[in-house]
Amino acid sequence: MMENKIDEAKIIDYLYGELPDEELKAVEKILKDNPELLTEMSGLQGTRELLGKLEDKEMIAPTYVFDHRNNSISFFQSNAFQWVASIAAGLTLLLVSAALLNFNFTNNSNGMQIGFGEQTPLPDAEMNKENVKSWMTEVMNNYQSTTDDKIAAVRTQLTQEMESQDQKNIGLMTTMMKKHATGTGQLMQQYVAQLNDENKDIIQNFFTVSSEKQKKYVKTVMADFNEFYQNQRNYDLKLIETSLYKIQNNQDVKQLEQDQLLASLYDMVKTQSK
Amino acid sequence: MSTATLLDIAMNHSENIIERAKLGDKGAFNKLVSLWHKRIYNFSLKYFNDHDLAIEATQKTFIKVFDHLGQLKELEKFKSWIYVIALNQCREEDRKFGRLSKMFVSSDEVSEVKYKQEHTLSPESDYVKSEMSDIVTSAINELGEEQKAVLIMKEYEGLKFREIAEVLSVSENTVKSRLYYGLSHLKKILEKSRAFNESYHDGK
Repeated sequence: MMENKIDEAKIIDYLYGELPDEELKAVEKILKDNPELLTEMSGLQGTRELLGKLEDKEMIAPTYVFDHRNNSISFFQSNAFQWVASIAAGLTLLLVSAALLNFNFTNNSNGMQIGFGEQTPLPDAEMNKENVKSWMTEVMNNYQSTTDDKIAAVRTQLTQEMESQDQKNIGLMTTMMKKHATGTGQLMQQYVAQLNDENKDIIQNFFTVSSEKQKKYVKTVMADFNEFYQNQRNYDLKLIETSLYKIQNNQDVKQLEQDQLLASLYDMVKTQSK
Repeated sequence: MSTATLLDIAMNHSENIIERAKLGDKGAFNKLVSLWHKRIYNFSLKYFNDHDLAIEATQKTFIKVFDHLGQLKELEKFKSWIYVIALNQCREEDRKFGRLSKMFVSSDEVSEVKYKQEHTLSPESDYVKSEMSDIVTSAINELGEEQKAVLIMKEYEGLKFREIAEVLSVSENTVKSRLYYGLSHLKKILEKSRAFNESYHDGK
């Protein structure tokens, strides 16, 4: 069973009559069963009919006139000429530059030399390895002897300067030590005197403070002892009182026991007499 | 047989002329212009709804055709090819015109000026055109660019779906989809148009 819907492409194909017979029949059947789709299709068909009312405007085609330019290229415009001319211009520029800058090129048994300006002569035959070595040794020896002399002179000068500086330093040190010793003795005396004074003050203060404290302490101790003594006395009195009370109680008990014994004896005697 | 049909036949069998024009035959090129000028002009006119812009786009299209005809390899695709050029020219002119109109006047004012040009400044044209044509042309120009191009190429230029797809470089289904939505949109625009309803029902 075919679906009851048609896609946009099929609607367009139907509108423009581009559906094959089988599909056309199927679409027509769907349209028959689907009034909404039929209405839409009719609307689109109506719109197409309206579009058909818009006619083309007549227009006279203009004649296009073209510029008949000569297509042949002159020799001077040809690529080959332009290439050759470019190369020639480049070479000319190089040659002129070389002439202005005094360009030199030399090739002989000693080697090839390329450069600008005046030519520098090449080194002669004496310029071999042995000669250069001996020159270098000679120069180095000269340099070493000169350097040794200079070092010795500098060393001597330094020694002399150091000795004179030592002398100066010793003198300065001696002066300073003397000054220092003198100053130190005075200071020590002042210090000892100051210490003595301070010690005196401290001892005096100590004894003053100490006697006052001792007085206070003795007073406190006496007061405490008095209190202790009173307490102890009260306690002893209570103890004596308690002991007396106990003795009294014992006497009473003994008296009671005696009475009971007498009562028992009386009863016994009375019973036996009967 | 009508003249239009003969022209269509000539257009569809113009490979020989195209071949000669391609080889630099100016006469053949002018024949090609006379065959295609009306079609390209009317395509541009419906695209812009403006005679001057349509003329401008048509001229530039044929200049482009002359310049690039040598690059066309498959002669049977000349129809699609020339519409590609025409559509590109229309788009370019549209952009230029849009830029210019933005520089000087608002879009509403442009529409008003265009409307006055169509209806007041060219009385002869106004006389020839029916009221219905004006309404339909205006409605087409209310469509989006993609839908408008497809609709004009199918309805007025008679291009096949395959050819339109080639022009726009899209699939045939996309072309059909755009045409469907274009027609649906156009129907709604026309239904909303009071002038259309009056003219249509009076016409009936």
